[in-house]
Amino acid sequence: MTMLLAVRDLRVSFPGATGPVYPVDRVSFELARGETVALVGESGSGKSLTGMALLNLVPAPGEVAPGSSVSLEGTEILKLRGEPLRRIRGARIGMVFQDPLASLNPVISVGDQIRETIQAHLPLGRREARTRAEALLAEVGLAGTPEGYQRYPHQLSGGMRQRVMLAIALAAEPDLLIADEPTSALDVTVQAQILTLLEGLRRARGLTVLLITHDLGIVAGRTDRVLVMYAGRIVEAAPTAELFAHPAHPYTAGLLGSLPRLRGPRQPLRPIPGQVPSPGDWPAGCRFHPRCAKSFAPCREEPPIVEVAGGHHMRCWLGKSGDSA
Amino acid sequence: MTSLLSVRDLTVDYRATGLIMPRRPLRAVDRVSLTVSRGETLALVGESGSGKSTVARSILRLQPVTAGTVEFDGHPVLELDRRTLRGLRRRMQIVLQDPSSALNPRMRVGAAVAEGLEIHRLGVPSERPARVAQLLGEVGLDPALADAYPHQLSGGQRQRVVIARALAVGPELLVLDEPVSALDVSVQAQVLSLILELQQRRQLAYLLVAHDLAVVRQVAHRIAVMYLGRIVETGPTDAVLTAPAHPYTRMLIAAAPDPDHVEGRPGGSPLRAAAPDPDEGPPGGSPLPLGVSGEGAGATRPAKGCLFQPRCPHPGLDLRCASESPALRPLGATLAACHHADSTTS
Amino acid sequence: MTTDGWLRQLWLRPAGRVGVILLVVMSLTAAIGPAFLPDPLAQPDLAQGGLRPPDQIHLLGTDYHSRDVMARVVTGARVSLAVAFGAVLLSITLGGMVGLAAGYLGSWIDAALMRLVDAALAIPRLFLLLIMVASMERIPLWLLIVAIGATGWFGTSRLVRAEVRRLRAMDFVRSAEALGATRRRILARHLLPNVLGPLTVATTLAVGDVILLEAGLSFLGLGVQPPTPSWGGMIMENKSFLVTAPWTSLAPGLAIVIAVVAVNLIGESLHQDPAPPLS
Repeated sequence: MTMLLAVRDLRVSFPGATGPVYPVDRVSFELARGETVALVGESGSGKSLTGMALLNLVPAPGEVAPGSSVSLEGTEILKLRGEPLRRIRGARIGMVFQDPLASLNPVISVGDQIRETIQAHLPLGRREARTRAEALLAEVGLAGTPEGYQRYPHQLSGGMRQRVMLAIALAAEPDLLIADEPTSALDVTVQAQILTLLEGLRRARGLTVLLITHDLGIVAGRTDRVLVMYAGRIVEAAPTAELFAHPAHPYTAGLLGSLPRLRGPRQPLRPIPGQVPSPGDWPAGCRFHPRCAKSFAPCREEPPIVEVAGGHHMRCWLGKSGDSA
Repeated sequence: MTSLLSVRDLTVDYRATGLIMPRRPLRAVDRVSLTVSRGETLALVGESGSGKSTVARSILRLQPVTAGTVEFDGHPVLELDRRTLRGLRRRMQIVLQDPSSALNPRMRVGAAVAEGLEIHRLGVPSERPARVAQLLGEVGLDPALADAYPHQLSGGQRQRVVIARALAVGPELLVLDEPVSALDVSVQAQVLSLILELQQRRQLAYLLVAHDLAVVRQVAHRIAVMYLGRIVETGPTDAVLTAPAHPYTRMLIAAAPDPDHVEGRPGGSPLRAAAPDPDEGPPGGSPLPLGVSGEGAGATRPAKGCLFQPRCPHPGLDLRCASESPALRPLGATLAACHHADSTTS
Repeated sequence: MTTDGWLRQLWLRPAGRVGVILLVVMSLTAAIGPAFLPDPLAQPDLAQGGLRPPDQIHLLGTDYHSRDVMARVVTGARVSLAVAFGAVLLSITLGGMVGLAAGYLGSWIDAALMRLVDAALAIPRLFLLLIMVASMERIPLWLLIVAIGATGWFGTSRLVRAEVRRLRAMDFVRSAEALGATRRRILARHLLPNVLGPLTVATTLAVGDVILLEAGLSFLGLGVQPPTPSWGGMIMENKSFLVTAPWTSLAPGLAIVIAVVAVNLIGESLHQDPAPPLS
C-alpha cells in the first residue's frame, strides 16, 4: 500500500492565560491509500482540531505551530497558501462535518451547491457539471432527477442533508475524505445508512477515509485502524480488530469498559474516574496517569512509545515492564 | 404492586400555524398509556420525532396536553389547580438532557440546589447550606463546588448538579430526559452508575427517555418503544432486546453500533454480517441490516393504517397494514402493535 | 459572574476604563464644580461688554450676556446629565417591565403590548416629544425627563422581550417550573438576572442618544428653558456667534461630544462580552 498522507509532530497552539496551550500536541500518523482510519477521542481530546489542522483550517486565534508537518504525497500542505492550498482543499481532500444544516447554504438548491463545487475544481461547463451533479446525487442515494436537483436544504431530512454533504465533498473527486462526527447528530437507523453509504463510496472510488468520532461503537467492524486520542496526543494506535480484542493502553481499556453493550451478558459499567483535563491543565508525564488505576512511579515522566504487537503501538510505561494488560 | 405513575391515552397535538391557512395539527403523541412503579425504571425509546420527550414533559405538565389522564399516586395531575400541582411537584422531578442549559448561568451551584428547598420551605434556612453540601456529596461532587457557577463546571459535573437539584425536594419519581446523551462516554458511565445507585438507595421510580438502547439496557426494567407518537412495542427489557416482535424494534436493534463485533474488514461489518440480502441498499452502498431505511423524523405520516408501514421491511406487508391501525397485542414475551409480527418472530 | 464581575470586566478593558474615568470626572465636576465657579446667571462685567475671549478670569470666556461660559457648561452638565440618566432609568424600567411581561406571559398580553410598541415606533420620537412639549408654556425639568423617558422604552422592550423568549425556552426555566417555582420567582430569579447584561448595554448606548436628544430639544427652544443653562440650550443661544465668538458654542459642544463618547466607550466594552456565555 502506498502512503497518501503523513502527519509529523502536528501541534496546534492557542493563546492561554499564561502562554500558549497545545490542544493538539505532537501528533504523528500516516494514512495509506484506500484505508479507513478512525481517530477516536472524547471532547477536549483534540481530535477535531487535528482534522482541521490537516487542511490548515484551525479557527483563530488558534494556529498550527511551527515544526508541524502534513504531507500529502510529498506536498507539504501547511506551507501552502492561496490558490495552491485551495486546490488541495476539496480537490484532493474533502471534508464532511457533524452539522450539515450549518454547512449548506439555505437559499441555493442542493444540486447547484454540488455543481458549483464541481466547477470550482474541474474545468467543466455548466451543463456538464450539472449532469455530474445529478449523477453524484444518485450515487449518494438521493434522487438524481431534475426535481431532486432543485430541492433546498430545508426540504431534506438530516440524513438526506448529510448525503448532500457527502456529494459535495466528493464533487472534485478527492483522494482523502475527512469525516468529522458525520453521524453524531443523526438517529441510529439513519446513522447506519450513512455509514454504510460511506463504506460503499470508499470501495467504489478507492477513497481513503479519516473518520473522526467519539463513538467507539461505530468504529468496530467499519475501519481498518484506530487512533485513540487523549489530551492532545495519540495514546494508542492499532488495527481495529486488534484494538478491540486487546486494548493495551489503560485509557482505551477504560473507554471500552465505560461503553454499555446491547449484546452479550449484561455487565456493570466500569467508568473511568475523574474527567478529561483541559489543555491548560495537562499533567506532567503521562497525561492520563491521575485517572489511571495502574499508574506507578514512572508515569510522572514522559511515557515511551512501545510496540505491543505488529502495528499496535501505545504511549505508556506499562509496555516497558512487559505488562500490557 | 400498584403503580406510582399511571398514564392513560395521553394525546398531544401541536398546532402548527400556517402562513395562510391553519395547517392540520400535528399529532406528536397518540394515545400513549404506561405505568411506572416505585423502584422501577421504564425506558421510553425512540428516534427523534417519536414523541418520547413530549410524553415526559406532558406528564409533569410542562406542556399542554390534548387528551388523556395522568395519575400520580392517585392524584389526577392534569386536572390539578396550580397550587395543588406545585405541592405535587415535590414528588415528581425531571432531569433534562442538556446540562449546559439546564442550569441558570447566573446562579451559583449551591443556590441552584437549594432552590427547591426554598420553594417548598423544606427545613430551616440556616441548615440549608449543610443540606446542600450533603446533596452534592450524595451525587459525588465536592461540596466546595457550591460556590461555583455552572460555566466553571464540566458537563458531567453539571449533570450531577442537575440531579442534586432534583433530589433536593425528595421526589419519588424522576423523569430522566436523555440524561447522558450529551456526555462523553467515560462520564456517561459515571452518571449512569450514579443513577442506578440513587435508585437503590432511595427506591426511586424512573421514567427514562433515551435513544441509546445500550444505555437503556443498563438501567431499565421495562422498555416502551415509540414511533411517530405511538408505543409500538413494550415489555421487559431483556424480552424486548433479545426477542423483539415489532419490525421497528428489530430495525433499531440491528442499526445500533456494536463495539463487540470486531471481525472487521474485509470479513464484513456487523451490519453486512446481519444483512439477509446482499443486494439491498442504495446504489454504491453496501447492504443494510434487516432493511434499515428511511427516517422517523422526516417520515411521511400515512393518513391511516400502520404508521411504520412506509418503512416496514416485513415480508408480510399487506393491504391491512395500509388501512387498519394495529393495536398493542401480546406477541411472544412482549406487547407489540403489528398485524404480522408473529409470523416471523424468531 | 455577578454584577461586580462585569464591572471588573469593564475596568479591565482600556476603552471601558477611559469611558468610566471620563464619566466619573464629568459627574464629579458637575456635582461640586459650581461651588468653585462664578454664578452661571451673573453678569459680572456687563459694563465691559459680553463675548470676551478666554482669559485668566473667565477660562472659557463669556457669552453675549457677559456670563461665564465655564460656569454655564459645568452647571449645564447637571441639567444635561440629570435629564440623560433620569430619562434612561425611566425608559429601561418601563421597557424592561413591558419586555418581561410580554416575553414571559405571551399570548394576548404579548400581542397587545407589541402592537402598541409597533405603533409607537412608527412615529418619530422627536415628533412625539414635540407634540408633548410644544403644548405647554414652560416645561419643568421633571416633565422633560418623563417625556424623554416615556418615549424611549419601545426599542428596549423589544430587546428584552426577545431575550426573555429565548431564555424561556431554555431548560433551566423549565426545570424551575418543574420544581414548582412561582411565576414571580421565575421572573425575578431566573429571567431578570439574565436580561440584565443586554439591558446594561442598551442602557449605556441610550444615554448618549438622550444627551443628544436633550441638546436638540433645547436647541429648538423646547427643552430646558433659559436662563437655566443646558448644553444644547447654550449652543442655541450662541449660534449667531459661532464665527465671532466660537468658544461660546464650542465649549458646550465639546462637553456633549465627551459625554457621548464616554458612555459609548462603556457600552461598547460591555457589548463585547455582556454576560458569560449561555451555551
